[in-house]
Amino acid sequence: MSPLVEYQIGCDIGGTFTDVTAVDGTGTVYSDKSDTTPHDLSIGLLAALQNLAGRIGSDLSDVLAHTTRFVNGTTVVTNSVAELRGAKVGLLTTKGFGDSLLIARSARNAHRDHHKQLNLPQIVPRERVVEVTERIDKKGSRVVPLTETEARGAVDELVGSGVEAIAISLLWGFLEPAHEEMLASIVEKEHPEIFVSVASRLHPVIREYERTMTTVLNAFTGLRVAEYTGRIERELADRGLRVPVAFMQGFGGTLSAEEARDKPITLIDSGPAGGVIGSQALARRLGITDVVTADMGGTSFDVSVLQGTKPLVTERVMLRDQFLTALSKIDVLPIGAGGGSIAWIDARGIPQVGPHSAGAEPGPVCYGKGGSLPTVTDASAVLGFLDPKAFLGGRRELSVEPAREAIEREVAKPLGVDAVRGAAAIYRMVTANMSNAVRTVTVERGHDPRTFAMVAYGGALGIFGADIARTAGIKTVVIPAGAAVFSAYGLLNSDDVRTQARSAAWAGGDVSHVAAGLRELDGRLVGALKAAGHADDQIEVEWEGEFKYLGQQWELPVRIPRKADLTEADLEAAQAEFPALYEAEYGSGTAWTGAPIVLMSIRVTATGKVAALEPKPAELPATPPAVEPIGSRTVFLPLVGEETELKVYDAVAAPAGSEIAGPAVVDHPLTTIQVPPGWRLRVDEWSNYVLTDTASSTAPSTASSTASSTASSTAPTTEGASQ
Amino acid sequence: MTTAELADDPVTIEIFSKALQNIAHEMGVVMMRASGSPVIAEAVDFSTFISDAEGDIVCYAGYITLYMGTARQAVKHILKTTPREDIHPGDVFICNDPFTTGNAHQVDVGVVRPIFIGDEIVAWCWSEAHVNDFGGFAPGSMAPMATETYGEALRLPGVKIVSQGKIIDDIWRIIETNIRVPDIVLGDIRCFIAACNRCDDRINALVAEYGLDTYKRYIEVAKDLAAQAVRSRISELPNGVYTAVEYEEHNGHTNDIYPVKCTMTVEDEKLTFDFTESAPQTDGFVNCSAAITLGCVASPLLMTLFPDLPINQGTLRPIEVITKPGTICDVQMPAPVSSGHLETGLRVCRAVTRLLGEVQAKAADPFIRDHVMATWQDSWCAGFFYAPDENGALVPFPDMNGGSGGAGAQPIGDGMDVGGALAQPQNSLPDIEINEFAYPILYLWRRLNQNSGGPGKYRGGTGLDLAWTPWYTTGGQEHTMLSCWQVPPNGAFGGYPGTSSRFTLTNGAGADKALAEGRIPASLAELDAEPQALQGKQFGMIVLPGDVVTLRSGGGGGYGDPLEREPELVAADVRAGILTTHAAEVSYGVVVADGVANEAATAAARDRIRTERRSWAREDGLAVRRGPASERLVELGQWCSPREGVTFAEFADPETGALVRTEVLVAEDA
Repeated sequence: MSPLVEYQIGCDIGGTFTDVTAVDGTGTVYSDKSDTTPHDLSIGLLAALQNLAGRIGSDLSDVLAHTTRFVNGTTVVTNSVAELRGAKVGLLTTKGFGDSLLIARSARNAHRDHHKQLNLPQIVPRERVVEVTERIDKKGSRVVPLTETEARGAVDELVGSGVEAIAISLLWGFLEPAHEEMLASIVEKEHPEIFVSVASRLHPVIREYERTMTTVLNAFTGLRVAEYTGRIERELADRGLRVPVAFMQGFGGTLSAEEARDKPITLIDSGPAGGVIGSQALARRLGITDVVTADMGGTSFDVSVLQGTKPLVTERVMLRDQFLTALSKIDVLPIGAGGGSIAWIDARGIPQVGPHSAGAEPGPVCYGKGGSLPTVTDASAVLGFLDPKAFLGGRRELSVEPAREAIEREVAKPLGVDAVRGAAAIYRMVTANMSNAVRTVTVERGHDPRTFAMVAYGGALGIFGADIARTAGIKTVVIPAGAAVFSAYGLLNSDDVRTQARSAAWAGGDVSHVAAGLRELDGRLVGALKAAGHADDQIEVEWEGEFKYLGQQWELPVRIPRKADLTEADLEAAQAEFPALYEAEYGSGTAWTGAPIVLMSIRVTATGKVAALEPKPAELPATPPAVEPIGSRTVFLPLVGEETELKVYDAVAAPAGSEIAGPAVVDHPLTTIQVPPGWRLRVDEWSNYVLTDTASSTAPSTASSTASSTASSTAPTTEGASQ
Repeated sequence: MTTAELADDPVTIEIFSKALQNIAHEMGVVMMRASGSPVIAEAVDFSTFISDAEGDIVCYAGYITLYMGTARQAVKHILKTTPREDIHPGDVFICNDPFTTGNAHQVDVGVVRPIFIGDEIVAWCWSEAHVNDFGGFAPGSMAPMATETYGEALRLPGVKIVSQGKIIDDIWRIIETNIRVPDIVLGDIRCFIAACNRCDDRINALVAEYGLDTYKRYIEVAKDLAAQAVRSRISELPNGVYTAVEYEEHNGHTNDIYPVKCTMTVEDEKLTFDFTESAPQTDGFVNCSAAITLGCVASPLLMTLFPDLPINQGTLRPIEVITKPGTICDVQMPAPVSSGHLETGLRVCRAVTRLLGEVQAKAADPFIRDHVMATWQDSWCAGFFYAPDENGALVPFPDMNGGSGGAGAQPIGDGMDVGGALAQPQNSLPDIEINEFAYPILYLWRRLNQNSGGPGKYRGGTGLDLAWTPWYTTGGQEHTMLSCWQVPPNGAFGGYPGTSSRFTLTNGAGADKALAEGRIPASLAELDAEPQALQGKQFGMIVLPGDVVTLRSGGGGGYGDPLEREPELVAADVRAGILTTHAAEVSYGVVVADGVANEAATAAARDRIRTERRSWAREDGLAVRRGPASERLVELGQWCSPREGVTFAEFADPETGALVRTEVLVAEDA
């Protein structure tokens, strides 16, 4: 096949839009989108692909026939959990412990308002939890063996209640899976139409609550994912796609449809993961090592950190702020600050923004779709950042006057200021909230933001990016080409990834059980990648152990060398490495010197490397080419506090290498970029917009200047701390 | 004053306040991540705060809100006892003394650090948590056998532990010598210091950003704004004087009853809580310091009346708490205190919850009305098992499942099941596997405590019902204590009380034998011997292999007449095993068969109950039924330990038969 007719396609199905991006063999990038169709996501997907084919100037069937990789990020699992719509699930669990999901380890949370301290919704109503007479103890000893009669009776009882899916999770089942396997085999043999989710297969690690919750959610989302993946594959194959569709996981990385059907819950929150993986590829291309990724959508602002271009992974993920799971996924911090976030005045008379959002419907007041409460987008419009006629490339006209009235009524009047200053108050408050979130993922975790660049994407962030960065102490903001479809683009850079953990206790001495566990997981995951078509030399495997000081609650991962003859010395080396990793995380002087370091569980992650097609860079002229403004706009600069006549530039017309000094506004069909005073924008060879802080580069901001002293001052034994 | 009249820009002040809040929060992050203690990381039993130069709170990351009074008193005491010229940058003080620095109990250890800009102290920060042990004659430093405080624990009244950045080794060695698990506890203290050091860095940066004068001014404005909002919220409440009495029971060695009486006065923009008429202090470990009484008043206030307002000294300015030295709410030397906040303190929470419910329900503002709640179980049910593991090493097992009482019901929904104590917002329980992994025990069951939530239109949260037997051990000693045993928590507005909490021990239960035979006992009735009901506090019981210990923690109070509860919700509770069909019928008048509420039978049952209520004796125009509390609760499928003089009264509208009010009453000589 000629490289000219090769495509890789990424498709991100979000809450509002379905975004698609294709790269061809020459490195040309095409993007388009369509409305998401919640009742049948494949309709929106196909519509977006039709649009994309139009841009390429080819038939969809022709494009799909020449597609060598197709990656899909989907909200189907995220939605299923968010809306609590899924299969009718039954749970088989140990006698005496059928109330575990109701007890929920006490569902108390950080909210002071007791209206937010309520019982959790139940995925499995208690009457569909069947207790099984069996008991295993901490040594894996079968204290009360499960009998065939008992197992059969329990399965029959659940099947009789009309369940579509069965979750099986027993106490200590991860240590001795025989009982769970007996139950599973009965269902699999006699009721093949029922989806089965088995805890010891899914996540064989101690802590029954989160293991059970994960197993139950897996069962809950299974049928929808099976139906969805089946339909997508069928529809695309019908239109000529010859490669299997790869599905994005929340952990980052993709897996096959078949595996997605087995572990559907791993698809949760794959959208945010796509953006982070895209940032990772972008950072590598631009030679940046430390990145804060920031995505501002309609309802939320999501931040994440890539250190050494590696995404951070968070374990024991809480879903919906309610369900504690054993899932691992890319660490993304969401806060309720998006374009649709609503501004209001609190009981003290102070303006606040979010977390309530006007969402897509009715949306901001200025969209004219019935919204009456002022939002962040309304503030941007009233301040003058948005061109009412050219918003979203002219696809939506903004009604600024009603937005002004809403801000006047809800915010400005109570504050005793005019509407524009009310809008500035909203702008400043939401900017502060967003930069606090950036601070949380950097400074609070011991990173110095001055060494980080921010990759800012999502339609609403072009205006705020530089102001957030300056408040947080970041000097460079990259607004990627195609910022509005960036998650779709990110999918194309995702490798194929399989990961699995299991309990494995070790505190010294014989390591044969740990080695056997690692080899077994390794064999299984590498096997899965080979089955998905990856050659040996494309597969990278990482072994980790979760270690902690004896007596502590939480573990930290330490690399374990991947070798067939793992020895005691290898684990002792990991033990020896632990204190330094611990102090890097918690501050020097915090290590529990003298306490034994114990291994609690092991994890294997296997990655099938995928060669993504690279976009083609433009030629850079020796001197920056001139770029002329296309007009001017009166904007009230909220951080400066005054009205200024700003030059307006056309982003698409600005050639590679051109530079624009702030203050200025740069209009792009899908986003508006603010270049504040003291910032410079440069269009790079890949059409990324790179903003640089030129004003404070010699005077580090105080918000960040303390990060470097953190490590030393947390130690009580060091002298003088910061004095 | 409104924000429109402020000299400073309210947005700037709020951005500043959020930066300050981030700092207190970041201290908490350091605490949680660096600590190994389950009490800190799992039960989130700690607090961090920042004060101004005088100790007035400017910011409080209230993981546990009842330490608000303590935090301030500690700084005040240090300022009073340490000459100013002896306080230097880099100093860190340690305090755990209920009598001087106002700590809840001695095993709650706080670390306090002055924050300097140049030579000037501009702030103080504090981090505090419950550590595993701080000496004294009881492991864990909560000493029910104590008759005076001297033997309870080592006490440190705000003394330097770090001087100008250098550890004062002498103090560390004194602590190390006096406590049981010094490695873990000293590790925790290091993490408190780390949190304070982090705060020092951050405050310095904040002052550098805003300038010292502006920093000081903004702190004052933020307090003023909070105070103003609190005043305006209080002005929505009808003026009046309201009284509630809660009862502390069993002081550790004597099963007496100690009234905690609170008189609340609402006067325009001011709220006063007067505890003067509470019982005199006792010679058991249940007494409470004035600082903790203040914190226990603040906790329900912050949840029900000010859930949307920030916490600083301004928030407390319109609130006055009056206590009388020498009472159970304002303990003086040398009475013991080591469980005061869990005992008398949680009764203070209950009294204030009730008073706020009464007065908030009369407000015009729906936000205030909807935030009423019924009282919580508010009983921390502590079980400690000390036994050797199979290698012979003695393993102390504090079962954190004790934080499992039900929450009070609300006008918008049921109380949370297994909510823990009101003042413990981020409570969580251990996994069964985590406890069995670490301790020599095997659980037989852990489930919701049936019928324990107070019946109501919205029911109280249920407690927990669990049983365990020694496992991989030759047996050991069990100690138990709980604070709500004979006097159940009240319902609100016609809701019924929650069930009380209780432990049992069954010696000779034969659980090991049953398991070996393939049976898993599922109730006390399936054990080989009669269970022994344990006292509110009971110590030194021998537990051998096969014996069974159970805890049934109680529920929260219900809200509203249970006859108004949607029959479908009652049926759902029956299907979930939260209610028995009997309780559904007698408490709710809902007849459930095969998991479904029978409409006609329910209507008839509800009529019958209303008719019966109308037949009750008349008192002041209401139909009233009175009787011993335990008998009535048992009739309703619930439970409290019987005690002479503890009665229960139900008040119904004589015309409609609607239940207006219920009340648990305790006779003066009870």
